Amino acid sequence: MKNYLRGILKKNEFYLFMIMVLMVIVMSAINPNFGTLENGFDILRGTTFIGICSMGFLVVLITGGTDISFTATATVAQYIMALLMVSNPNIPVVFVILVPMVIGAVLGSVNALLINRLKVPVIIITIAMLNTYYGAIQFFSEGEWLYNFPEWFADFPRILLITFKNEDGVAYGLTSLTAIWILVALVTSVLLRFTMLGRKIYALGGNQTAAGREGIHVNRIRIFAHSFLGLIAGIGAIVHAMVTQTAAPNAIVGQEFNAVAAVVLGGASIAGGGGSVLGTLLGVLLIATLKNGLTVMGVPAYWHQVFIGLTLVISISVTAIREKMAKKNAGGINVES
Amino acid sequence: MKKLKVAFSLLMVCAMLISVLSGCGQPAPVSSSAPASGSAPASGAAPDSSVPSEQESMNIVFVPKLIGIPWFNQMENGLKDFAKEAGNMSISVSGPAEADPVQQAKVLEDVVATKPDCIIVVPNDTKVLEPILKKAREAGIIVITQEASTVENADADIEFLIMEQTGKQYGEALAKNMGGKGGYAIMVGGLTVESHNARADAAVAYLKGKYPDMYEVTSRVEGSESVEQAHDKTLELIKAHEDLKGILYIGSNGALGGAAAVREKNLAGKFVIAGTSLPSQAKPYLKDGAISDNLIGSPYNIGKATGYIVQTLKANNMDINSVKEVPIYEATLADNTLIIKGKVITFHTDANVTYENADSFGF
Repeated sequence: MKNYLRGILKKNEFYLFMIMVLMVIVMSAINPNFGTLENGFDILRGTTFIGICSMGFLVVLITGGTDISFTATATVAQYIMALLMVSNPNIPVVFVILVPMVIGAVLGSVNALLINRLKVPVIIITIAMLNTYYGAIQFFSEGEWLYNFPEWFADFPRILLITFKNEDGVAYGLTSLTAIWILVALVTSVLLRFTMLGRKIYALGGNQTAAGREGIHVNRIRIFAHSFLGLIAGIGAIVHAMVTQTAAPNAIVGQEFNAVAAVVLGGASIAGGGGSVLGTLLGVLLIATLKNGLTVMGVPAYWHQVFIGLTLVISISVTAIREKMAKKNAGGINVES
Repeated sequence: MKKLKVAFSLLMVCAMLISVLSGCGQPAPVSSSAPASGSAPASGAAPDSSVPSEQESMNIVFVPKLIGIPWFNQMENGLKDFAKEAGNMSISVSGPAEADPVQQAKVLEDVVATKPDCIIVVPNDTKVLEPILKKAREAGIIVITQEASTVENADADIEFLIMEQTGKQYGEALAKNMGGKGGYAIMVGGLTVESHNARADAAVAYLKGKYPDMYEVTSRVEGSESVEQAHDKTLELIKAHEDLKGILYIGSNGALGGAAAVREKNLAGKFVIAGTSLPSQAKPYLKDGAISDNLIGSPYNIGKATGYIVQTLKANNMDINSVKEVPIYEATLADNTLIIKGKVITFHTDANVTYENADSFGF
């Protein structure tokens, strides 16, 4: 029992959680409207898109890679999905859901193939692909917005799985979209922790050469990881369109670093080989809570970026320092994860 | 393993092809834009033929920032309808496929070479076009610009915004729905977007003078360019300030996000959402009052007004002071709703969008 507690104390997630609890206490003291269940559910709904995408990005980051083109992937997937719905309002639901996921996975695997072949810094390739996908969709769409989607598409995001009522009698609670996020997180968690594939993903990020010598198909794992991110970006694209009820070719690109920040804040190693779903969830929630709290506390908007930046720097520093200390104490051998 | 390699290389080729093709897709319209744009209007109002009139017919070429977007399509319709009523004007349209100064310069050069009587141009970058406009004027072509108040080589420039009137319109949009008292907030596209902040300042100044019981609950908020962000920020603001009764959104997506947020909380019609969104997108929210007020200019009317000014100037030997009114906007020199300074003609075009008239804006 004592060992178990000490284990928790060592975890990065524990510190993130504590920071969040502290934040909630301080913010609620300043404005009691912050610490309400209703606000909590609003935060969850508001950050669902970034939350979903960060799960895919986590997997790629663990392999030791990176891929910031997922926002462009999501844009392409979303626009094509929207085109389908606008051109034929009676299009089968399955189609609307599968098409963006398949497009996402295909575009993701294209990235991985380029990375496997070209051996250039990954970030350069993904920046290039971000521009390629984004430019292509700008060209084909001519910047035109799509809206007026079928009724079910507008109704689905309004479904509440857990319902409460506020004093005005307005229903709020866990939305279907947040539930999708939770589902994606669960699947990612199972994949990373309980499957051979998941362990290989960690192995690849830990030491690519060693992983290769052990007979792991490095290139195949990479293709899987990037396709997975693409597929998740496709899911994110559906959710995003459900929230905004529009498909604008310029609405998503530019948000990639929100997901990157959340994943890194969640304790995932930029060098690869480390990171967890729980940490990423906490990272996403921490940033979302901070953003929400700053407005609710009435902090002038000019200061928001500064606060968010500072929080990131401090959290990441704490993680880095703790890792350094842990390594010293363990004599240079990192047993865990 | 070898099979796998072959499969990979095939996929690679496909990927390369895709990226190469989509990469090439971009410049393609540039080369084809000039000839394509000439035929774009389709209605047969070629500069040299059509209008069977005894008076000498005036050939006018309209060169928008880019062709194919609703805003300029509607403006073109306005111009053409005015020309039809006038009887002695014919309108054709030539413009770049993208809002790119260099492409526009090329198109404009081609237009000047055809020697029309008049060119109406909405510059992407005034400086880039100046030498070509100079050439046009030397060739005896009348040059009218829109939204280019610094232009040198033009007979007249037309502007569509009078800041005090914007302040009044925006201010009233909040005040009349809030009953002239209570707290409000203003959301702009970005804290550094100059034109948004100037309009916000004008609204605040107007409200301060006319409605002393109204006040800003917080400094400026940003998020009006994204439906998502505006939605979340609106919910946060409502929670943060119990005395908040309405929000003014400057930026095309703000009111859409705000309206979605108040609908979600059953506040449609109770909490004031005033915005500047596209009429076609605002329309469903105007129906149940989720958007209380929406303000935007009608490009169709702007087209008609531009036609009127060209006609008046032409009839009076290009004397800028002959423009004494713009009937479609009821703007007159006398009551300062029409302002002429040098060669710049300014009147105010923002209008209230309602559920009933939303379709008439055409975008």
